[in-house]
Amino acid sequence: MTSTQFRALWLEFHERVRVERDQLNRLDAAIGDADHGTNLDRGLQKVAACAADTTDHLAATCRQVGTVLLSTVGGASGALWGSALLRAAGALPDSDTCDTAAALAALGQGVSAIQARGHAELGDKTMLDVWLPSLEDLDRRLSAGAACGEAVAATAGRAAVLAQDTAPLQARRGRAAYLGPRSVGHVDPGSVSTALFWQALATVLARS
Amino acid sequence: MTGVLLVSHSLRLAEGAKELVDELAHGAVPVAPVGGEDPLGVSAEMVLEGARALLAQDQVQAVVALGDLGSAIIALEAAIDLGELAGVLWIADAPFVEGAVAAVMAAASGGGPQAVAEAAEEAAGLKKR
Repeated sequence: MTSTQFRALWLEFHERVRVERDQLNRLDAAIGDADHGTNLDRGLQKVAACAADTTDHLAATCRQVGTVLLSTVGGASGALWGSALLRAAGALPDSDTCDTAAALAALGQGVSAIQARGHAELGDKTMLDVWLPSLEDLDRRLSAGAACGEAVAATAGRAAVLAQDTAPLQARRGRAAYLGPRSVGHVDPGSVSTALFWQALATVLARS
Repeated sequence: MTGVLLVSHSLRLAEGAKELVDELAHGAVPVAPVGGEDPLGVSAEMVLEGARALLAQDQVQAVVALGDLGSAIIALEAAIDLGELAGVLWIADAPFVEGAVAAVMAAASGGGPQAVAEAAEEAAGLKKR
């Protein structure tokens, strides 16, 4: 991945969240406080502006994105995405390009940060229900010899399904957990926005 | 002196809790409310600002923070990740109101951050009837 692709990723992710903003809010209204789309859109707007401006290398840009998300996206999402990006930056090089292994390591580090910060496990109806199996899915495809762009595109498709698969789960973390069994039957909005991230990544990789 | 940071999704809830503990401790302990209003919610940045305001007071060497719901704690942890609060901001996993009362009483008695955080956390076991 190049730093140009990395910047494009955040513009693309913002665009997808902007388009889906109302839908994300509606999903959040069912089990949370109806602001997931608005919150993420607002933060990513700042991230996109900052990504369009910077010419920094990968690690510095990633750190910058994390800091902007921490300060502009309220609630758990901002802190979780921000912590993930700050941690991922540590696995990225101080240069304008990195190989697939480094990009995967950065993704893995970011997801570990989300897990550590949110104390959530697989099946708790959180964004980890998309992150963890998607990472495994991507790993499996790459190990089987798939080209990086193809593998990410396939994983992005899987991520969209995984997001919908959160519907039957009962929330055990976050605001939705207070609803107990009433959280069953609703798709987790954080899982849907995570799937949008995977789609944005696939789109950006397909361009080059 | 240990300051107390009250972090809620709602600024008015945090301000109300401050009003309560200020009266009990006669304002002897620096307490700062942090929270959102239109929209509700809490971010690491808000926590950072609140903690800075407390630490800017001469007699405050450390801050113990309480959060209302889980994501307030996540915001607190993320604020520590930003760097400057490491070692001076302590997070108590405590009930918001009872914990705030216990924390402020411990701080008023000269408790350091560990003692104040412990007092707040022990408040989780208090029975109301």
